[in-house]
Amino acid sequence: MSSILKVTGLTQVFGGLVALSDINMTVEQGEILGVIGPNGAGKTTFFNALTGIIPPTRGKIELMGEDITGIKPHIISSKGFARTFQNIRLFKKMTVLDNVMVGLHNKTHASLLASLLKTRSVRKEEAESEKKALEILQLLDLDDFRYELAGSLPYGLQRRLEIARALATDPLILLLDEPAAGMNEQETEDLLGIIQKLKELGYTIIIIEHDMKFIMNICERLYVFNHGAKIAEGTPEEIKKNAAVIEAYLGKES
Amino acid sequence: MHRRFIGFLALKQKFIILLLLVFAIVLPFTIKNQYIFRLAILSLQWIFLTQSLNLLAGVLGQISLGHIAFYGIGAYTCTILAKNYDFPTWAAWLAAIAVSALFGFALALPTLRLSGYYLTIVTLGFGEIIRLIEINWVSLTRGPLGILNIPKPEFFGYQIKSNIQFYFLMLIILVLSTVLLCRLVNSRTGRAIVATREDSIAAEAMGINIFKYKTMVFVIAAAMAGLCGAFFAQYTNYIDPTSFKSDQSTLLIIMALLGGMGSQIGPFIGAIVLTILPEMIRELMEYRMLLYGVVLLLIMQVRPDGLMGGVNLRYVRQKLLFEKERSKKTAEKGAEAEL
Ligand SMILES: Nc1ncnc2c1ncn2[C@@H]1O[C@H](COP(=O)(O)OP(=O)(O)O)[C@@H](O)[C@H]1O
Ligand SMILES: [Mg+2]
Repeated sequence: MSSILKVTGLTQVFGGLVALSDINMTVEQGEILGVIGPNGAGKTTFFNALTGIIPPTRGKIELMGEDITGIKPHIISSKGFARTFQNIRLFKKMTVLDNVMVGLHNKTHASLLASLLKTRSVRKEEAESEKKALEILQLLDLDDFRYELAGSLPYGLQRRLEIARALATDPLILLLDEPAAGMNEQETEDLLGIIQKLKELGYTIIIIEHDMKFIMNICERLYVFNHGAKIAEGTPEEIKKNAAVIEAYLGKES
Repeated sequence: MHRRFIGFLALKQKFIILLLLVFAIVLPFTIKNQYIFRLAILSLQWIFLTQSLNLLAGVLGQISLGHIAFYGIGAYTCTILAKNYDFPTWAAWLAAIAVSALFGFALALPTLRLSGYYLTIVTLGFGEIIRLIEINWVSLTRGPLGILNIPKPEFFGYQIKSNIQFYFLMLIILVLSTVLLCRLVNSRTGRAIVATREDSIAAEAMGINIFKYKTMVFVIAAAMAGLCGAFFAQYTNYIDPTSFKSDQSTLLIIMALLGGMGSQIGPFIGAIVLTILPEMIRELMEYRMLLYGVVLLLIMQVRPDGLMGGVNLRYVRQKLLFEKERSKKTAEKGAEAEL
């Protein structure tokens, strides 16, 4: 196994608030990694730093050995990070299919001029990317909704569409920010199946999740954040028994 | 009612477009009255202008309150080059497009730092600055006196003089722009632009260089308005700064809003209605602005997105055809099961 992501000393300071302090992490090819922690622990901030949406104050992010710290989010995307958002951020007035086709942006190359002239290569590329997008939608069981507006989908499907859109960028690492939040039991179960499927396909995934059952089920390794710091790291079994984690979640026993 | 009408439009698109095109081609041959002719040409021109604003405000989602400035820049550039420097028409037009595009690029630069309402304020200021330059740079623009006797356009020996020639020149421009805009919106580039409007953070996370696409739209919209200005100058024969005042920018926004932001048919409806309606009640000319206000209020009450706002005929068509196909399949399956 080779590690594809190496994070060293990642720190994020907002004014006086230290939202992330000195986070170290390595991620191996093909593993499913969980990040847990109480609300406000800095989990989303961690994703924002990785994807360049809010560049970190200090620290280093290396993807496949390349330093990508502080570069623009759209370039980071093309280097291999794709993510979903805790508060769903779909292109609501676009169809499900077009949302996924936006994800294919950097896998396609039609220039403005070629698109205006509708050259043969542009038409071919459009047909191919539509086919590719449909394959991804099929994988996530969304193809029946391909021509619906993204904003009109039920909540659970919107979360799934965000995953589809992220997959379209053909990422090295998929970052899921609370993918099961707000889902009912059935939807959560479907999601579990999908992540299992992605794992079998060899995707490397980092999941932030509150639902303990969910995360213990799917992750081989867990990182626990509290107040911006990593307080524990290990297998679900180890984490369950970890005193610092129990304290963070249940409060100090008196 | 509205939904079924939209569905009808979406499915019979080609037929309807053909019909409208035939109408547009036959129309000028039936017009005998100079004044009506002028109105027809102005309508075409305003549709084109509204298309350019719609690209910026509707498709990209960046409201501009100074869009008419580009129209003015195009008009003055073309006029000065054609009249004072004897530029051939094609060169004067290209220059008008290029200069407006350059200003569009300059106006796009603040998008690196600003967006939304803040940028809208910048566009308002930009429009005023351009108008003040038009009034005060007297040695170049003759200020409030305006410029008279602008040469007529001439393309490779073919002079455009009569109303009917101007009408068809503008019609050709409009047909081309409509085709190209539809292609743009339904392309990889267009999806990137709409995604930027819908959620710029998600768009960036999907690998879209939002600054590049914002700039691109500013430049294209400005270039279109500049071209329209060049046409206007050579058609009317006379320009002065009053044609490029901020209430013209406001009118443009109302046209785009009435038709429906972001829709490709919207500009046709908005521009035609608001060019012709005020003329039908000429006695009330002084109350024109009031009329626009009333129209806007009515629209906001009935359909806040404008008549065609949020309607993407391509999407409607895809969905209807897909559903038809699916119900056909299930019907076939049902029939098989019965056998
Ligand atoms: N852009 C920001 N500016 C200022 N403070 C922020 C910003 N983003 C997050 N924070 C703060 O950082 C802390 C961690 O937030 P977050 O990463 O969203 O937590 P989590 O996802 O673990 O619930 C919170 O106190 C939050 O208020
Ligand atoms: Mg969070």
